[in-house]
Amino acid sequence: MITRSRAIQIASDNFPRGPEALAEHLSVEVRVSPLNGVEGWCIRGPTTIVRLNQNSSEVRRRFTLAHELAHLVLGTDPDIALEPFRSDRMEEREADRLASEFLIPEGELIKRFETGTPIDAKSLIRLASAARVSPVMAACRVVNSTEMLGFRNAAVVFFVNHQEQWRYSHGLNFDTKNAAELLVEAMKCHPQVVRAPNQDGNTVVGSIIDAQQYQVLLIQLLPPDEATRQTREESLRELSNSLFVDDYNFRQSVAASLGVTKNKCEGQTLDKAFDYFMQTYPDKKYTGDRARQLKSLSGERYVRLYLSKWFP
Amino acid sequence: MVKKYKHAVGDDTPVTGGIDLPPGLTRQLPADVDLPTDDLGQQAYWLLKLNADKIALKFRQSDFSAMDDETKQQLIADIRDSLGVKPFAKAVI
Repeated sequence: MITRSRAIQIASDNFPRGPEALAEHLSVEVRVSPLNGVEGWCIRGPTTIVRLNQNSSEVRRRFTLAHELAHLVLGTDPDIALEPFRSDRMEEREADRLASEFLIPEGELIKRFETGTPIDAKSLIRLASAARVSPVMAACRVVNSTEMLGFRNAAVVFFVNHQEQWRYSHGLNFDTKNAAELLVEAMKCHPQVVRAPNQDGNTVVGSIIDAQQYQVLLIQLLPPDEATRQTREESLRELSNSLFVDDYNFRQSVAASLGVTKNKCEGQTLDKAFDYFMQTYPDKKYTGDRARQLKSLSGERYVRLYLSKWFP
Repeated sequence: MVKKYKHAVGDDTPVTGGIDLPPGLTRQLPADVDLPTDDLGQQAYWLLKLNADKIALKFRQSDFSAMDDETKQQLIADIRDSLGVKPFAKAVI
């Protein structure tokens, strides 16, 4: 029907609407309507039909579609879709894994995350938003790509009311703290990451996504020298503190200018957006110390890092 | 594989001729298949069962029992559409 690598390529070329483009390519008829008691189904036959639940969120529907398409590509039997990343059956796990590749292609991960640097919650949420998936899905995608991202290992632990519900990993051993203890510490550090030494000599880095109904802890196991590298948010905070010190108005004004740059340069590259900002604002909007600070090395670094949130 | 046949008390399938039967012939089939009990469930079950060579959908009774009737009807309609079976036309007098 189609090879795995070709399917991934089609999804990647059409990011963020990879699964939708793949469905079109495979001539799969996608139907959406209100369903009760099930997330959807896929019937492989003379006409292949995927039905999705209109009552579910868009991110959930997209995952269900990607999961069913993964079954078709893998040649395994499609099923009545239930909870993602929760099955202990090999076939389902493999379909979940491939679905996550359709939704977030490898290129997007490489573009957004520097190899061997801890990933913080904000970066994860931005990735999820760009890929139109849930933060949980984005975290599971990171777990599926541990080697590529330079981690020794990684895990996603899902909590409701601080009670662990399930975890997704390829056999992570973190012995220093149990997940619940790490969650408490990660909440104290939120939105920054928490770091703790592991008995095997590596370092556990925890990052939390705190939604109202649930908490998701992304645990990354890194060699100590890599685990201590600053995350993007940590770098941004440090640069911000040195650049603005106590000048709240200056900080707010630069943030507003960056926001305008985002809108003006939509669809362009980071370099173009950076050039636009530097040509438009430092000399024209600011004078004296403020203009000098913004044009300094750390000022430029701050602007570039800030803009990279929107122009990965 | 040729072997000397020995029939022991309690063997479920006596074999003559000194050969092993394929496992499919000697394996006992489970008698407790969980068939849907409602009309819509049975419709879906038989559509899938009778067209097993044409369509694929894993069918679990527990999944089906969680659906309401409207959802079950949509599943049946999708199975029919996938097979290309047209619904009966309304009678015109």
